[in-house]
Amino acid sequence: MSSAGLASVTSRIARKKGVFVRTIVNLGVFCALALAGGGIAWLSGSAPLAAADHFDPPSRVDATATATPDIGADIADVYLYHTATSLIVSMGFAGPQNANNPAVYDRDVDFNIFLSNAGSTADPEYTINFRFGQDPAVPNSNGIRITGIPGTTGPIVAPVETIVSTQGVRLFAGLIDDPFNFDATGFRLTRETGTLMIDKNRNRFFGLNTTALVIEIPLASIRNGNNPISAWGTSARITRP
Amino acid sequence: MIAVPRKLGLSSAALALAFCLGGCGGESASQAVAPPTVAPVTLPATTSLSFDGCLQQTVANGRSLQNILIPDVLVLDLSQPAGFPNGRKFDDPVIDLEFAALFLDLRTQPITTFVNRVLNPNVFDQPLRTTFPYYAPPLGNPTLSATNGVNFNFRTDPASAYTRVDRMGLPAISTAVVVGSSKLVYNDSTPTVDAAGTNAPLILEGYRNLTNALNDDFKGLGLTPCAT
Repeated sequence: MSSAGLASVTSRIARKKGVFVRTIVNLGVFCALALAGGGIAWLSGSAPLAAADHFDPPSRVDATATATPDIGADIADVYLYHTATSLIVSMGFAGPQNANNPAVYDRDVDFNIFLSNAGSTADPEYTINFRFGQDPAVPNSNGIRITGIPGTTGPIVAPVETIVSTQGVRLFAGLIDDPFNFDATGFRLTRETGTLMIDKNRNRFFGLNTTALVIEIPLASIRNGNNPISAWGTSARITRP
Repeated sequence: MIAVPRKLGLSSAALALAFCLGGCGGESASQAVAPPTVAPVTLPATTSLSFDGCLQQTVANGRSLQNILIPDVLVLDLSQPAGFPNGRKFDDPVIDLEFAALFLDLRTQPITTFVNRVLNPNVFDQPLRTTFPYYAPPLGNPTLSATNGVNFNFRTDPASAYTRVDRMGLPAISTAVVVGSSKLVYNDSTPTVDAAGTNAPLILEGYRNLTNALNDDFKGLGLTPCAT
């Protein structure tokens, strides 16, 4: 079926379910919704927006769900892929941001990217830790301190927005065009109606930037026989007294 | 019958049991091999749908959906081309691929079904760079950080001085599948806990609700859902 056909069918189903939902609510039998289908029962747990990981968990990082969103610690995405010679791992955060806004380098946030190469994908063999800081003597300056990249020793310290090549690895922290695409509105409507309402022409992430760290590691530094490589990330904020 | 992926060993068996307690048929539950280390799942809605076909179906590179969802990490087989669900590249259409893996019978429809139909938007602002750092440069005219700083004031506090805010492995699982108050529990957890099966009910609850809501939509589109 063509995408136009898909949209047409989706729209038809939406109209059908819309009538159904309105009928039930008008009868005032709200509990019937739970019996009619799990999709309806699950409405109360819906988040305002959803994405790859942007804005999640909403009660901590989403401005539509909390008056004090922790934007600096909001992970956007984690990426992991390889070429013939290297492994590329990246984590985006503090996004998406409007295109003219600056990057976010929050001194009070501690980031980790975990890598595993020992067979069990859940237990990390490598913890890449990074934090940001500022040079008080240089206006609008931000630096990154990073440890634990496979094949390297000691902390690597460098200004952001620069490509760093050292000890066989490359890294870059800076503002980038967020490559993620998602019709978050359509997904919210899907949750609210129980009907598939995702629209390929509605993209919450169109024209927005995100702050990210990218690391390129020689495969020889991480390969462990035929074991897969696994990756995940965390963020944490300094605990105030 | 539930096949326990060899890679995850006993922890995966516990997960299989967790899924069975929540959504499998009685026959499957009786054939689970793990001890009952995971509490029974309480679900908010009743359904007769079976998830056996979904969780055990092969998605890619011999990995089942269950094996991809749990633990919540990206897994990259270096012997195969990269691209979600084998790792994740910057321009992978992950939403459409995940939708197919979660909801469609992949024996009769390819995992690229929604990619080919273009369910979710998949248009990029600008091409990715072919050289490091590979991301496309920022849009607009933002003020970029100065690059001549030297003496940065990094915090030296130990990890124990920080409190978890967020975690991520797979795209859209915590955001789109885990719902409500379970989100904080899930984000504060670890892949090791995932692998033990403890967090399986948090995923299954949202997954079941999505399936209950959307199965008829997929049928209406002429597709075959994996949940039956």
